[in-house]
Amino acid sequence: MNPMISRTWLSAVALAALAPLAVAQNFSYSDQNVLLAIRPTAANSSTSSLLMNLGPVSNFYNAAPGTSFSVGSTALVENTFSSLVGLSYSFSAANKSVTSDAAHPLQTLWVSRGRVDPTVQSDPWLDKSSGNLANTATKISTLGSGATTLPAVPGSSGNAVLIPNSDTAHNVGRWIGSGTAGGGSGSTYNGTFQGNSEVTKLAPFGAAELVRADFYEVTPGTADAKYLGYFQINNNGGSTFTAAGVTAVPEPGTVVLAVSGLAALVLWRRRSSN
Amino acid sequence: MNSFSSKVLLLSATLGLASAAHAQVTVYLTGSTAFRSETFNSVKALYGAGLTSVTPANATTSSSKVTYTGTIAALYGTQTVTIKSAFSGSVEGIVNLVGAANPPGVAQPNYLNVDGSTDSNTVADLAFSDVFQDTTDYPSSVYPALGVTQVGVVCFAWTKSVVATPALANVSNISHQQAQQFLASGTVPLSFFTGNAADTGAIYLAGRYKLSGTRLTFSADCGFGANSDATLFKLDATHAPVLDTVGQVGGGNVTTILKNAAATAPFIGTLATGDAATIASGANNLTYNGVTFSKGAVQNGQYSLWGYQHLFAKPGLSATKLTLVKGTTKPADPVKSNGLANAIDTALSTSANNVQLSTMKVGRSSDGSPIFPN
Repeated sequence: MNPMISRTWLSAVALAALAPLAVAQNFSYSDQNVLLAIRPTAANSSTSSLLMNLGPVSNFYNAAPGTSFSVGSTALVENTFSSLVGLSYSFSAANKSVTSDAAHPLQTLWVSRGRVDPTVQSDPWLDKSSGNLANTATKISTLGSGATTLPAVPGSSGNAVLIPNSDTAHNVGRWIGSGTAGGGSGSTYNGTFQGNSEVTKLAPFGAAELVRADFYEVTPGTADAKYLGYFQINNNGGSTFTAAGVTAVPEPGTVVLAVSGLAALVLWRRRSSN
Repeated sequence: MNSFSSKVLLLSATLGLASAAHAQVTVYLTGSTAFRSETFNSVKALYGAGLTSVTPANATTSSSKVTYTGTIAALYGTQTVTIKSAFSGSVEGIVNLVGAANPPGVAQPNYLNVDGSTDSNTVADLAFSDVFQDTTDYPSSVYPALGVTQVGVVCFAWTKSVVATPALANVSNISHQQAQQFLASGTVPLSFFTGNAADTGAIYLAGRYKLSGTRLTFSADCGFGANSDATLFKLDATHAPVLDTVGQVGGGNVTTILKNAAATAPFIGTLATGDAATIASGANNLTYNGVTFSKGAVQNGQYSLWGYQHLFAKPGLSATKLTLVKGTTKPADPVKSNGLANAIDTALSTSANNVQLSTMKVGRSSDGSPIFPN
């Protein structure tokens, strides 16, 4: 996903009204696509959730360090919800189909985690066993694949779907909610995940509020999950992703040069003082 | 009345009689294959001596496409009745009836004409399904609610493969919590089932594709979630387990995996009891929550891995076509009618694997829901 794609999306949404005869298209989803789920809490009167496909997760873990780009469609959020107050955002992806990628084994998850202090990175999720992660991977994958039976929002190129809360089979809370059979506040994927993946926006449109959620890669294992960057929920309801910055690690050649230089400097000072 | 008027009246009467004599009823059947055999037998029983042709002539109880024609005097008098069956899967049948777009990679089956040519129609009137409409991704909260008649009970069993090594003697039971995990991860250490920590090798899950009623029933009954994306495995050309990202189209494909004695790893598969009976004559069936499958255990409520066989009708289906299912007597309980529902119930009386609805002492309100005494 890149800014160009996002702009194209916006244009497509705007053009939708001019193309009433466009052929209906279902929501599209493939394994390892990032899903942005925006669902109303009790503080929001909306009767539907908005699910957006943000494209392959590789676009996020391969993003150049420090770069930012917008994701999804701001216009869709604006058109769907009359208020941002009480909307919960979560970002997730799962690998349920690829066994050949050693860096991202089967059942790898990519899951957001809200920041308590928006300027400070959250504690990372923990890697878990493959069997443990498989349960959450199932929920994420089913949320996306189940929605492919529903008509996409016209003009979204199949990348967005509105799911009524009354749709018992597909509603977002059914698959990501904290209850063991769905629903409930917070998103622990029916109690299968180690914590809440959602961040909730409390301020209305236009009000200054910094809301951020970190994005982690959770692989089978026992280490900390890998930090990929963070999503920012903007005041207009849109989102941007900023890839993790560079942690400067000198290359061996650089280290050798630096040490040699330092040694030469010490030698020169000794000679000078003699 | 003059001569001309008499002739006109006579001609009108003749045309009317001719029209009645040539009125035809054609009913299209699709959906689950689970009751394919019972349908074959019960449709033939309904026609009785009025059956004039079966296409193809060598059709059997396991044929997916069969067209029958003739008269069913008890339901339609002298009208010619043609029943065209083309089975696919439970969810495909519901997709067809609610008029939803086919899921990617799925095409609705077409039917055979009496002369063996292909009927261009792919829109069904009736569809069999192992699961309730609301269990599928096409629920009545989103799509048209389908009229339904329950015609029997279809039963399922977890079944282990025939590999000699490792020994699977101690793999004998699966609880519904184990089943949830097994469906999510698709592979677990053998010790997960044997209880022996030394059994560190893996055992794999083989199962059906997402539109299969078998898959939905297994997933619903153990609490995994009927439409949840399971992780499945199959065998590659070297008989080694590999990820199966689609799932097997038929129960026969799962039995092929389980029967492969050259497989390099053991499997457990999800099967209808009819298919499970073809593996070691049912001896490889696991107990489920400690209960062995038997018709009595289903009828009385001990064994929960079963579902109703539903016969769904297209919205707005004509009363004439519905008569095929509910008969002309139209009792409150269709299995007591003189239609297809009753014929299937009768055909099930000799089944070793599925159960007559009329003999059930228990019921349930949805797939995987609590079982209550009737």
